This record gives sequence, structure tokens and C-alpha cells, in this order.
Amino acid sequence: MEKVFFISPYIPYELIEAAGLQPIRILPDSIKNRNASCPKEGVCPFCHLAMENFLDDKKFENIVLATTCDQNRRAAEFYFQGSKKRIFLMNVPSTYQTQTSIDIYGYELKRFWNFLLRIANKDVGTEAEENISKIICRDFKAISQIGQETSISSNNFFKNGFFDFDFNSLLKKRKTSRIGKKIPLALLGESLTVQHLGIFDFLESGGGFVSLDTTFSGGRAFPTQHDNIRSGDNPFDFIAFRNLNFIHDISQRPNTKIFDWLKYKIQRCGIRGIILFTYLWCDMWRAERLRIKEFLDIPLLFLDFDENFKTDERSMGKIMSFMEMLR
Amino acid sequence: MSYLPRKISLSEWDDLYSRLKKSGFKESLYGGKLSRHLCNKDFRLQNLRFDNSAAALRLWNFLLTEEERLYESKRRGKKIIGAMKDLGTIPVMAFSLDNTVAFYPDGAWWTPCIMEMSDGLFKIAETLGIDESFCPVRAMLGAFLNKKHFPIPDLLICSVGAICDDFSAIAQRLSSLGFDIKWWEIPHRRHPEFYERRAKLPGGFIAPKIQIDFVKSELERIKIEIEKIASMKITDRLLKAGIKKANKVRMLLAEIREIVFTAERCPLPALEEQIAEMLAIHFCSDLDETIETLNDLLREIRCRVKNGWGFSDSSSVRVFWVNPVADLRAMNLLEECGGRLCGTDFLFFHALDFIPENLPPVEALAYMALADPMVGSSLDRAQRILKEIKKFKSEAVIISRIPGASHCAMESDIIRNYIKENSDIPTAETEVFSISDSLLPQIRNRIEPLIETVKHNRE
Repeated sequence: MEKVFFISPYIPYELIEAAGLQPIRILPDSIKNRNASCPKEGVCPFCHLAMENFLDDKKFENIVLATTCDQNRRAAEFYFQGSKKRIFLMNVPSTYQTQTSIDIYGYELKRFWNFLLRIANKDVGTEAEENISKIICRDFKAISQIGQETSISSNNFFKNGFFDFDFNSLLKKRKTSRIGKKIPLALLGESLTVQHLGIFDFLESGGGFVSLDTTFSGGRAFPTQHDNIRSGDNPFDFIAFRNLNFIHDISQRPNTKIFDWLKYKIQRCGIRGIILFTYLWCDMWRAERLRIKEFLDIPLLFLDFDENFKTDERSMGKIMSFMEMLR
Repeated sequence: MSYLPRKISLSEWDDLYSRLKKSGFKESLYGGKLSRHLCNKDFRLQNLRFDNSAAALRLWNFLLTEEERLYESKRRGKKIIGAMKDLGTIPVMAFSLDNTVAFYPDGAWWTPCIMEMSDGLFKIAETLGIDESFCPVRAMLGAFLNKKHFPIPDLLICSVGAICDDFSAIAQRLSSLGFDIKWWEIPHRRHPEFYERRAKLPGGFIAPKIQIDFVKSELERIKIEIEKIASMKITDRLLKAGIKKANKVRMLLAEIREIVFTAERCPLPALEEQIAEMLAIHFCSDLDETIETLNDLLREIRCRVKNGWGFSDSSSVRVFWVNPVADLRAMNLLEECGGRLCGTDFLFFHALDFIPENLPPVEALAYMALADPMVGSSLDRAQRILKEIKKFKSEAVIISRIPGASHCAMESDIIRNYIKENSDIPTAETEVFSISDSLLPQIRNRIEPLIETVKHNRE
């Protein structure tokens, strides 16, 4: 089965699966052979690592990117230049309140569907479209459950199959135990890379645990409370409405939704401290650091992430001091 | 009255101004000595070299008095529209009404340069968490908070979607501080699929027609917001007249560009050329006066060309400049290094291209908005640049990076690679900070070898 790789949660795996292809969401990982042609100066480390991954590995034949950040949008242009890979850049609107935003995104989903059918060598047909609705229905319960979970982190997702959309396996293997007297923390920011997954163990060794992972590689990748698709609903319109309204992102305009959602989640989970990480040159998150601190009004630690958490001793030192303070 | 063209300092302008006045020189209400702007702390003027024509003096005075003009409009009861990011579309709509004036608060990005950092705008932005990792447009945030650089608009409109992250993030920060912003979506312009209807945009880009329809419906929504604040309908007739007037500005600029970039001796310095082009975006808050100012400038350069006068000689290298510079001094530097401007892409090609007059007016504006080089791919932009390079016979390209700007990290490579693959034109890249004095040798070190390469190739 052909694989389709993507990073953003705004790319619906349901369409890929319904087209008879295998959806795989990836976390960028460090690679041995650095690509000299990849621009690095001024590029956010996450985006840079993703570019190197996609350009380096032949397995990434079909790549889907979203326009939710300027650097990702421009990274897509890099792949387009002389590449034989099949690349799709999906326009995800920043606004969500108007019918036009829903229409723009819904139309993009249909365009994406056509792209997928071309890869799968299938004709456009109602049967395949019906499959989309069936998959949405099939996974509705699992996604709702995961959306309500607080103990599933990027780490669990990564190790237990979320990135291959094996929800049942993930739900079975999830970490359910609360850890004694450890301090409940929230992790906040963009997606992590594989290099950064070590932060979970590190926080535990420091006396805390991530009770709420609101990164894009964690729980925030799921649409929050929403209705199931109804018979007769157009699946493209349904997904467009669901994702724009119930996946909360800092890049949305205005981005008040994510703030309200964070406040609700943090109160509900009894969070005592927040780790907010930002990548250098990631304007969307960096611009909001002080506002987040003021709005959520609980102890907050800012971390600047580069491409490699393991060697970032400065960040580790800061985390340890923060944990001391919370104790 | 025309003098032999020469680049002069601010103090030389004062002497020249006295002589002009004695000879009966008449000027507009906002006229006067250029050095009087030092009272407003526009200290950068002391470090610039200016065109010595009366037309250029008018241009500078027009530019540097915009703030007063905006306050005066407000005092007279006009509604002030703060258009953000789209660079050219919303003001056409706003200026179609008599009782609204539009400007771009984004323009504050030049304030730290003009005031040589005495404005403190970057410091204010930093207190809000917007540090030097953001582009100089962060000055806008400071200007909204200290209220010293423009009146707070009655209506704020910002395009989002396919724009740079810096601006989107800063505008959001502004919104979170209580400034009500009306957002409108501009989708990423892409090439049409084989099954989609195509639309040819001003300037030649192609987009799927469906994207025009999306943008049109967004602009219709924004039009209603402007109408509410103005208590007046923007009828098709008014909007068509507004488009016609905006096209008059574009026509004048097209002629100025054509003459400046193709004349044997360059009749207008790079600095004044950049300022003139900037007028296209929001007409410096006065559309009629923009037309008059550009008419003056056009008369002056026509006269110079007719007389064989200019700032360059045959050895000057014809340079295409990509991106606006945060420090205006860099434009002087180009000529000091032996270059002359022969083509520009200051990120607003779409504000220079003619707006279609044969379409329903809101749709025509949608065509224009989608032609923005920033909303499409850098590769599209590179193709347009190469087309202009060929048209104006440019011999070299300089891409000036905007410090911290999210788009600059990757677009420069894409544009340079494309030009390299499709022509033998040499390119150079440099970064220009708001005050580049300490880095001028570095910028010079980028420009001079490029100039020398071209000269060597000529031989």
C-alpha cells in the first residue's frame, strides 16, 4: 500500500485511508547526512529538520504540507523545485469564523482528494467518498476518547501507533497510572521532534510529569468535543468545519479559541506548572509567550528549542530549577 | 525650474531651498525646508543624499508630513481606516469614499530608521515579547501603544492567510491588546489544477478562478465594514471611479519606472525611486496629491532625459533590487558603489500593476489582491523578476533580506537559484537592518564585488 506522509493535524488521515492509501504522520528526526542545499539561516529548527528528512529519504514519495506557517509554505516550494516526489500543499485558512473560510478549506480537501485518487489510480466515485464518512464514524468514539484523555502524550502517541492512526492499539497501551506525588505539568508549543521526546522522561526524573500535552504532536492534534458525521453530510464540508473549529492553533486569527481551551484544560487537569517551548524563528508561538503567561496565570517556563534537546544543557538546567521552584 | 541633477546633503538642500524661494518657487501647503523635519526627530535625513530637484523636495515633504495629514483628516471628521498587510487593495476601496482615509500602520517599520531609533518603538515591542527575531514591522506595535506616530484608526483591517508570519503574529498581538481587527483571508495563490478554470491576474500570474471568488467574497465582507464606519455605501460607480484614480497613480509610476530604468543616464536616484513607488500603496493618505506629486516628478525626469542629464554614466551597472530596505541609506549606497537602479520588486508588484477596469469592481480588486507576490510562491515571484530583468536589461540582482522576516530565510535561495538557472545574471544577497551604519562596510562588500563582476564581464 502506498504511503502518504504529513506533519500537520489539519491534513485529515480519513481521506488518505479512504483513498486506499496509508496515512503516516511523522515527527521529524535528525539525520546523518545533512543536506547542504537546505537553507538553515532564519529557518525554524522544526521546519529545517522536516525539510532535511523529506529531501533525504526516498521513502517519502508522497508528501503533504499545510500553509499554517509561512516557513512550511515556503519549504514546500523547495520540494517542488526539481523534485520527483509527489507533493501537495494544502491551503489551510487562518480564519475560521466565516463561511468563506470553511469553503476555502472544504474546496482544498476536495482538491486533496483528487490528488489522492490520482496516486491510488482510482476514479472519482461516490463509493470512495462514502468510505470517508465511514472512517469518520468508525473512529469518532476513539478520537473523542483520546481528545478527553489527559495522560496521553506525544511520547505515547509516537511509541504506540498514533502516527500510524492505530487508535485502538494506542488506547490499549496508554499510560494510565498517575505518578505518586509528582507535580502535574502541561507541555505547550508546536509539534515536538523525535529528538525532543526525551523531555517527558527528563521531567519525570525531575519530580514532575506531563499531565497535559497540548503540543501539536500531542492531544491538541485532535478535534475537541464535536458531533459525529450524520448520514447525508458532505464529508469534505464536515471535516472542514470540524477541523477549523475544533482543532485549536496559535496561527488562527483571532487565536482566542486556543487560549480559552488551554485555560479550561489546565484548570481541569490541576496543572501546577507549564513548560512552553518555542523554536527559534517560530514567530507564531514566540509572539504569544508573554500573553500566555499573563492569561494562564500559573508558573511558566519558557524554553528555546534547537534541533537537539539531548545536548541542550541550558534547557535542562532551566527545567531543573523550575521543578525545584514548583516543589 | 530645473538644476543639473546632483545628489546633495540635507544642509545643501537648505541653501538650495533659500535660492529657490528667492527665485519665486511656489510649493504646496506641506512644503518647506527639508531640514525642518529634524524637529520631528527624523534624524536619518542627515545621513542621506537627496535628489536636488524641486519635484523631489515635494516628494519628500509629502512623505514626511503624512502624520499631520492623518490628524488633520481626523479633525475634519473623516474616518481613518488602518489597512494592514495587503499593501494596496483596501485603500483603493477606502479612497472611493470622500469621508474615509486609509493608511498602512505597517509603514511604521521605517520609523526606527527615519528617527534613528530615537522613537523607542522596538523597545516597546520588546516589552510585549516581540524581540529582534521579528522583522522591523514590530515597530508598528510600539506605534499603536505610544500613539505618537499616527492617529488610532477608526477601523482596522488586516489580511491573513498567505502572509508572512511576523506580520500575522504581530497583528494578533495587537488584537490581544484590545485593538479590534477585522481579519480577511487571502489564500495561498497556487497554479490551477487541470480541471479548474484559470484566471490571468494583473502582472501575468495565473490562479484558479475559484480563488478569485473566495477573495471577492472576503472583500465584499470588508466593504460592508468600511460602509458601516463611513455611514455610506460604496456603490459600484464610486468604486469604479476609485479604481480609475488608483490606476492613474499606477500609470504615472509605470511611466516613471520605464524612464528611470531605461534612460541612458538615470534621471532619478534609487532612493527617490523607492519613495515614489511607495506612494502606490496608500497614496500617502492623499490620492489627489499623490497624482500631483508624481506628475511633478515625471515632468522633472522627462526634462532631464531630454537634456541628457542624469546621475549615472555609461559605466554604472544596471541593478535589479529585490525587497524594500529597512534602512533607506542602503539605496544611496548602491549608487556610491557604482550601480544604478534598473528594476525593483519591493514586495508590492500588485500595487503597481493596472487594476482591471472591465470587471465588476470588487472582483477587479480580488484579481489585484491575489496578484500580490507574497501570497504566491517565491518561484512565481522569481519568474516575474526575471521577466522584468529582461525588460529593463538589468545586469545584476541584489536581494536584500529583511532581518527576522519569515519569508526571507527561504525565498532568497529560491529566487537566486531560479535566476542562476535561467540567465547569466549575477546575484548577491545582503541583509539591511533599520540602522545599518555599522554594517555598511559589510553591505558594501556584497555590492561592490557584484558591480565589479558585471564590469569584468562587460570587458
